[in-house]
Amino acid sequence: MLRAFFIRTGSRCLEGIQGTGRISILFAQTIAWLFRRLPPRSVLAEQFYQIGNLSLPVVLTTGAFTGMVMAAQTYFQFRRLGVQTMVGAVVGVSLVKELGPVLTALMLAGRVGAAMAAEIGTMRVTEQIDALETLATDPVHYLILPRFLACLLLTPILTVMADAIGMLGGYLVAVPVYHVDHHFYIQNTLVNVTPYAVMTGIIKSFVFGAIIALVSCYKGFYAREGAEGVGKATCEAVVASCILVLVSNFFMTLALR
Amino acid sequence: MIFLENIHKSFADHPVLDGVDLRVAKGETLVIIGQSGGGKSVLLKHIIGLIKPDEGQILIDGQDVTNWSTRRMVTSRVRMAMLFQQPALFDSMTVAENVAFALTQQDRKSEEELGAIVRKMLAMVRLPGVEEKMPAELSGGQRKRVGLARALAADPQIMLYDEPTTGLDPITADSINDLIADTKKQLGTTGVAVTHDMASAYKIGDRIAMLHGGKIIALGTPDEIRNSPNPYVQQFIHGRAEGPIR
Repeated sequence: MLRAFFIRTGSRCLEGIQGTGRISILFAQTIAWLFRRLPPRSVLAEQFYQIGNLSLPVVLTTGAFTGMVMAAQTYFQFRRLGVQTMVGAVVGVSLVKELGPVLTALMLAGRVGAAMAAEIGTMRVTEQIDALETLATDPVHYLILPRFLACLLLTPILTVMADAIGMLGGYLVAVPVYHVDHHFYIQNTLVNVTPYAVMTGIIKSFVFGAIIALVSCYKGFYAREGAEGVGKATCEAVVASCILVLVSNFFMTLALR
Repeated sequence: MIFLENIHKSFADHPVLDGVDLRVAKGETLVIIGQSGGGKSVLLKHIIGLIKPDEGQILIDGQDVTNWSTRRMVTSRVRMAMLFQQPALFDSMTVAENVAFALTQQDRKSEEELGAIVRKMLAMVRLPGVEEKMPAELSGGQRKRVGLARALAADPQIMLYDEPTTGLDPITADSINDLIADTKKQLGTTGVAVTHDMASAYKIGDRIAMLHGGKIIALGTPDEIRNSPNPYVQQFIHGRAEGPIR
């Protein structure tokens, strides 16, 4: 039993090391292509549309309701202390530094990450990736780089939009509904939501975008045979992306304080 | 033209190819037969560089290509193309985009030139007028033909066929066999095909090799294979459940 435990543990450690090596190589190949040659415009445009335009409704909805809930909950607590005019500052700073980047990334991991892993995984198990290679096309350049670029560039943009609509939602709850003073709400928001705070959130979202693209593409690229393999890859892509977003957020928060 | 020497390949400590030696002459079509899961497709993928051997050497026209990437293999002086079993058409592209894919990635040809090449390739595989269809709208036989047109559009000197007739009805399968034979006649390509369809093997093969237990156990013309004294070969070509092959 002890032997079986050590075999299992050792096997998992080796798989983990192999996976780390593979994803590092995939990342290096993606960056190498980025500096060598960009993907065809049509391929890039399609990914920008899929990741950007089609994610907008879910990201804006997430941002709006997050801002509104934050405003409501903060107001309930701050009213007891008589500092309800600080609701705008708390909502704004929380959104731009933490909630905006993280929740946007988690939504994208679920929507876009799953789609990327499923699509590339299906291509793997139906030999379409092998077919790409036999047609003199590098699959990293054709499949992974466009998705990586789109995620990297669009996650910050979507995050900023989520932040903006979240702050608007927070304002609409705090001021007209709970009658927080409009002037003090706006002034405290502007004083506390500094350019550095906004930049912190944008830097985080660049990293989150890269994580989502790399992890999801990696899982799809190395999907095992059959529908079960693709399903497993998709599920693992979303879970791994979400966990890495949360873990990296913690370390970046410490580093960027 | 193609020389495989002492090829060994294992997956998770399970040997699939255990010392395969094979020569394919220029202009001939060699068919590799064997049981399902016997390593035929693995052997084929070695030739085009999709899989690297654990041991052994692969020579194309005297050049050692064992460690060449697939991209280098298909764009080298000796161009190669492959028809996949599935046949791996790109789902999100039309038939025309699939057929023209290799050309759009490599050369800067105009829309008119690409259109003309696509029409020519589809006519060659007897499938005119389907340029704007999506792969999902095609039958299995039509998808195989489009896959063949896509491979031929790259003007290869060596064609690899992975189970070209698997999953097709006998009439459609025979039409694919005819296409493969015509392709060889018209374009002078060297071919390597893997199949367990004996009718296809006899029709398209100049020579037939049987892969069993990771090794080539028989090699000869279709008549030589039909009359082979090897009991493994006889069991396989007659499709008998009883025999030395378990």
